[in-house]
Amino acid sequence: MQWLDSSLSEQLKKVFPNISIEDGPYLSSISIPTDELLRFLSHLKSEGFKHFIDHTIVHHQAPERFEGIYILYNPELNKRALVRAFSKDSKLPSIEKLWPCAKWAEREAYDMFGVIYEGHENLRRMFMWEGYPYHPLRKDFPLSGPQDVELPSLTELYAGRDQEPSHDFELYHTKVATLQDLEKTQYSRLNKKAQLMLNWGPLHPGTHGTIWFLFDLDGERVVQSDVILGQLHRGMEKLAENLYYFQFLPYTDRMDYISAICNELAYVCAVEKLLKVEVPEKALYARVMFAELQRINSHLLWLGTGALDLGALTVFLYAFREREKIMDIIEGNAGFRLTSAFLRIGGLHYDLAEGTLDVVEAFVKDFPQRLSEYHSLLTRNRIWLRRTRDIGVITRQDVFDYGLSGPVARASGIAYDLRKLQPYSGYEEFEFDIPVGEVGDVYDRYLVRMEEIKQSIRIISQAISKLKKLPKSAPYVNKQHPSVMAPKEEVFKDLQDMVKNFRIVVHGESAPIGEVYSAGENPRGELGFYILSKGGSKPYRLRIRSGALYNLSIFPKLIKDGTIADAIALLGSLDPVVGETDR
Amino acid sequence: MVNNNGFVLTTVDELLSWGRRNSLWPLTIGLACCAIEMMHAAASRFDLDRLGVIFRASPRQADLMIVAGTVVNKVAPMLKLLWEQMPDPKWCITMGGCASAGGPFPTYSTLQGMDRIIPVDVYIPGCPPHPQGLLYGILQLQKKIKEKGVLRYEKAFEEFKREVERRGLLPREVTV
Amino acid sequence: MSTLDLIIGLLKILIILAIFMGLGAYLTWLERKLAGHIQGRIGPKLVGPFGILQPLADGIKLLTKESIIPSGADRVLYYISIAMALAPALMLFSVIPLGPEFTIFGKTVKPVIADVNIALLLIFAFGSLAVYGTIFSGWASNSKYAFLGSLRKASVIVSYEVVLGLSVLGIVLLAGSMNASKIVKAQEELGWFILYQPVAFILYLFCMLAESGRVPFDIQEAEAELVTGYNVEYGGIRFGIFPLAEWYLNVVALSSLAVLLFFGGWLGPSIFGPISPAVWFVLKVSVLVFFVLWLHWTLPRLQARDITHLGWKLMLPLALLNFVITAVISFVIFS
Repeated sequence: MQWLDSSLSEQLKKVFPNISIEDGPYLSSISIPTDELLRFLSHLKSEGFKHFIDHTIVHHQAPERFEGIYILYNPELNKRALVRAFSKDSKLPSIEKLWPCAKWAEREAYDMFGVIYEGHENLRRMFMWEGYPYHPLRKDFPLSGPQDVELPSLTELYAGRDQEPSHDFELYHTKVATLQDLEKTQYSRLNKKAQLMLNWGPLHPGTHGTIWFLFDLDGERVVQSDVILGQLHRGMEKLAENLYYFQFLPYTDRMDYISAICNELAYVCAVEKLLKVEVPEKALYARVMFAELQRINSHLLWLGTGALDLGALTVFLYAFREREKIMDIIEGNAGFRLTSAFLRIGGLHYDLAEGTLDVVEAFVKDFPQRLSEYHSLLTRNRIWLRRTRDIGVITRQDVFDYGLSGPVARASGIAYDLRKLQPYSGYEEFEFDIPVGEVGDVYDRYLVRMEEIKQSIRIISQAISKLKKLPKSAPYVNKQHPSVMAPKEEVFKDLQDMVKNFRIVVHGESAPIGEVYSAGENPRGELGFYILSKGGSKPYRLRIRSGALYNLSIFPKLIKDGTIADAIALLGSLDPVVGETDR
Repeated sequence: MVNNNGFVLTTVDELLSWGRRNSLWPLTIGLACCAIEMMHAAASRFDLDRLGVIFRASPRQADLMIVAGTVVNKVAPMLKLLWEQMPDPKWCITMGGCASAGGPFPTYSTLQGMDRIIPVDVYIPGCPPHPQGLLYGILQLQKKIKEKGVLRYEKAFEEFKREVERRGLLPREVTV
Repeated sequence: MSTLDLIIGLLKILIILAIFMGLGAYLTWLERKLAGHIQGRIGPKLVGPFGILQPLADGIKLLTKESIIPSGADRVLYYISIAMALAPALMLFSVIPLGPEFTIFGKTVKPVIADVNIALLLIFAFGSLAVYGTIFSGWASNSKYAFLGSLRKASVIVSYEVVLGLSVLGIVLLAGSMNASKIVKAQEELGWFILYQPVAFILYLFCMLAESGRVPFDIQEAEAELVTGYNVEYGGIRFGIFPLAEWYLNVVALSSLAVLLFFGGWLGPSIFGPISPAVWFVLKVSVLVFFVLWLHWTLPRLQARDITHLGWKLMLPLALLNFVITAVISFVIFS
């Protein structure tokens, strides 16, 4: 996938003489004065750049100002455009009218940076609660916040202690939110119109984590609804700015914790692009194999919890039986089941364990029978059909307006799969099909995901045969590159490697100046990393474009006039993971 | 409750504690990554049901709070509310580094340990812990109940407050 | 009524109470064990051999939990609703004969507490009463989830009571009585009524699942939607009673009734000697109960509106049709 190049931008220049096009080493971007931003974006939308990908802010410290970044996608040309505009007095025009999902992106930018969006429908805090006094992603805000409150450990106090208090008495950033704060947050979102205001979540067994839904109910019919996020906002982006590139890798595991290796792959690809690292063949294929295994793993969890939400507990347990097998394969290689941190910048952490390929092969051979078991339990089940058909229909227009991606977009007939459109990590060498739905209802999303599992199996068997052809001693990490750490077992033998590793661990990789946007096709849609490097070993700004967040943003629209029972089916089919939506 | 002399009473106590430790119903609080491992612990391979542990969704019907995942400042008051809604006797297990002590997230939005808002009985380290870790944690809790008996929460809390006052440990800005 | 009769009556009540309360508790164990094996797990195992003491541990724990009543709850209704849930479920057993009458010490004893002519009517009346327990508990809890759950349950009961009543009318026509013992006796001559009334049995089965709040009709406590539905604010043993009454006692009572109505009750070849009728009865009931438990862990659940649609638009006409056809045919044959 390429960026908007000069031939197209010349035409744009005729209409908008004030724009300037910068061709950076990694991507080209278009700068536009703030006054013309809205007009320019709507022009781009009519020109075919209708798929909204992301919006974020970069805080430049001197002079104090905010820069809005908009990333759009043109499905006909398969091209992306990155538009940037500086805010005026911390103000930017709201583009909610053009792309409804920008409502959430703008809320997030307001929450994190304090940028005011003019014309926004209800500009509230996205992740933090109402009454929280800071804007955390600003550069002058420390990572753990200004520390002013004492919060001791109750357990230690209760146990009694004879010595001086330990770390438990150190000052702490802020008092936790009070219930009154949360109530204020709730009331600022929705005005009650109907009979009953139901807080669905955040600690509710059906909300897939800690998403907080507000339903205004008339009987069981949802009149209006809103989603409050941030119950798992851990400050990933702030953390990334304070860590070296390689240090942030394990954190990506903990974002979308169900598909850890896919996250790693997307992140590693972005950093490798920035650092210009070539990856050896073996690592590429092994990455693809593990990413696809993880995709199956993730879809199995979706299947299990989705079925559990609709009452079928047995499917849940059967799906988990297969998940255990995949987790064992991952554990055997990475040493960890869930948050594996298996990939490294420039390759893999470990070489493939002895016998991995045989185990994966056996799994691939066995799995189709299991898959047909799931099909026989659900696909033709009358009740399942009744619960999922014609529920939450997403049209093609919605896909573009709400920036949907992944299986949710594909179920509506948009073949938006980054593995094909912008192959990364050697996906171009693999043969697979993209399943596409027709109606875009819950049932279609179910079928698309089930078919994706099948395609993943296909990719994995190809990866196995490719890996088998390679010699056993083939390198799995590109240790010649100055920014890539050498594998552990060589570090203990080779002085040079040891010195290099030592240098990287202490000082970090030194990245060139530039900006990168690189995305991977995750089980939950496009996971993009926008990295702005101003030199040095830490990113100046690292923005995580979460597929789950944008997929969830269509929820209030779809659930209108549905029931709570529809909400649960719909939520299961959108399959958000809070770790990724909240970051 | 704890009677050191009366034989009958201790036997009754023994029976009560046996019943309680063999029927620990945790409240499902899946916050983050650890929730997945918690689900795995309950699923086919590890099967918490063997120990008589079944997950309840309502705090009124739960005895045990397994805090699985990162507790952020925003969700902390709700967790505390849920804890208060649980009837006595009740216990708390923090699963994973985040819930126990903040884990890898020393950030502005994360609560640095669940024990800052509610007292915790068993801490399970790991990021996330293996399901076996959770099983071990629950077994440890059973052992604790067996050895220490059961105190009513208010009583324990009263004792705690007295203890704090006696030792002069009360910090400047804490409301208990 | 003599003193002996009174004593026998009291004894019968005691025995039936003891059996069915204990049975209800142990059905929880059975269900967990069964579900475990279906799902590739083991189920309770470590509390006693085969986890056999699990219900006991659960019971002890539930009984000794602190009693919390949510603020804003209606205290009177909060407690009444527990009784309202349990009492009708137990009363169902009063009119269900567990075997043919037998003679002991020269005294003829009917193994039923009240051998009345309107047994079927009574059963449906008690079944309808049970809904008040649910509705009261939902209302008294002062919780939105509980309220929604109880409303859902009420809508299910309203649609399925009617069908339940109509589905067994055909049997009443065939047997010519509403007395359970007489219905069984009629089957002795005619053969099991399931052969005559297969449609009615299927309808009855659906209604049984709906009445006892089992999958696919368990919308009142759909965990993913309403946490645990109408009993969300009940803790300790006050919570324990609801599933005991609804999920277990109701299932056993309605299964026993189904056996009496459709499967010839205690009839069967007397290969077990004098206890043969009891054995047959227990066997038949167990098969039905097993079927219900089995369904519970496999099927997804329906939506509230689908359940009412199904009840009123499909099952009610079917039941009526079945009744009319049975009436016409039996009129032709018997006259």
